Amino acid sequence: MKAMNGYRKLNHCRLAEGEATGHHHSAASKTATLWESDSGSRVLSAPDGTDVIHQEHGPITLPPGDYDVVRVQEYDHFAEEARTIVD
Amino acid sequence: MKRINKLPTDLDLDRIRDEWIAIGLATGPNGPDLDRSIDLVYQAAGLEPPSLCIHLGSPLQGCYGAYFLAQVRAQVWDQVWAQVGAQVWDQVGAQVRAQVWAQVRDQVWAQVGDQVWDQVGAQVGQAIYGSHDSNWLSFYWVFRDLIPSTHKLDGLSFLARSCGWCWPFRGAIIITPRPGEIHRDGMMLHRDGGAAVIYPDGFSVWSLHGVRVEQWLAESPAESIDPKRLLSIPNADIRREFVRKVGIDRICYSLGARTIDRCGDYELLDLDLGDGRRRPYLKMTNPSVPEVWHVEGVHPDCLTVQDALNFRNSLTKEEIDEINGCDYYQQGDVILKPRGAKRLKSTPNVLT
Repeated sequence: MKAMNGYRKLNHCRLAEGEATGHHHSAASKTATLWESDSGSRVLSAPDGTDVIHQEHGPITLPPGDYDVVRVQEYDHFAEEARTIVD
Repeated sequence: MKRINKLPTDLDLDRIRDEWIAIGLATGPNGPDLDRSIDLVYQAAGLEPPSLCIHLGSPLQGCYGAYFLAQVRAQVWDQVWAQVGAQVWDQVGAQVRAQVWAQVRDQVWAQVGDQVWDQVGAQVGQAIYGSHDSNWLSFYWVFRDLIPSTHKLDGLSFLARSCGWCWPFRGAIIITPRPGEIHRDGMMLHRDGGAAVIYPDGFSVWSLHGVRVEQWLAESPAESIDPKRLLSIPNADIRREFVRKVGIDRICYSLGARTIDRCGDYELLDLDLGDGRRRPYLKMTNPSVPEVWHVEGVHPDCLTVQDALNFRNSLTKEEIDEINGCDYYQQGDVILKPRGAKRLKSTPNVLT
């Protein structure tokens, strides 16, 4: 993926990491790259496709392409706001 | 230098792997070769051995001690790594990494070292991790009889067999012991009823099935825990362990759960928040660990399981197109959507 305004290339392919486990979702392909915007949103570029692996969850195989990395959200009924799941 | 393209046939990688896993998970007092190991670490960096060894009781105490001393760790690291790292990586690294490093790392660093790391904080970044360095040291140990320069790592390798985390300084070194106890369930750091890692000074890490938790959750008997505490736990993995320990049926009963909708393994519940309000929560099994339940709050407007899943996956009804929508993928709490897709199917093509 060509560099985009507001995105910088990260030096790893860890899409997300669990703070209570140290587990992480990672792209395994050597040609995959991970990009992050100023606001923290991430894009995975996988020109040859890639497996995404995790210590607990089964692997998934992505076809070639660029992907928005989106975290699941939940609703905090006490704060009355949606928030990204933190694990 | 001669390039290595093939490993000797008599090299026993399984034995090396098992040896370094045992080193990484070792407990008890410092080993007999500690002083010699320290001397070798400093010699490899071109430094005089330290005249002062400060023995502290845990990585936490070590962090406090390290805060006060000017460090030379960078010098130790740079000189050793620069001379050894490139030579090995460029040779048969992938094969050994797969067989030795990854397995040691998964069992030792991910389950023990990393959790200690989280509790101690930023100062840990300056440490030599002693026995918890076994992941990457195992890799270079494979080449010890093949590449003479790997002997530069002898000090760190012997140190891993002798003690826990250390902080090297010019003229002095802080030494901390290995844990006194490590409790695991299979490969996961786990102890229900006590701390999973205990250092001699009492510094401890509590963990249930590999998830670092607070002391009360690990040590309290399940029957003494108020199920309503579920609603105050922000971390999804810790909440999962709470549900696993307290029991989903007891939680649902305590929170007056009423079923709003069911679909497959999903159930949309209406829970009593205890303040006069009832709000929707999605109850679901973990697709990769089927016997484990998750309970997550969803938007108050959700009336069906599909509403709840759409909210959870940040999908609006306008974005969903079951016929022409793009496939997307989900692994746990991470969703991968094709960049630029305007329409998506309502459920992921693959969910693990």
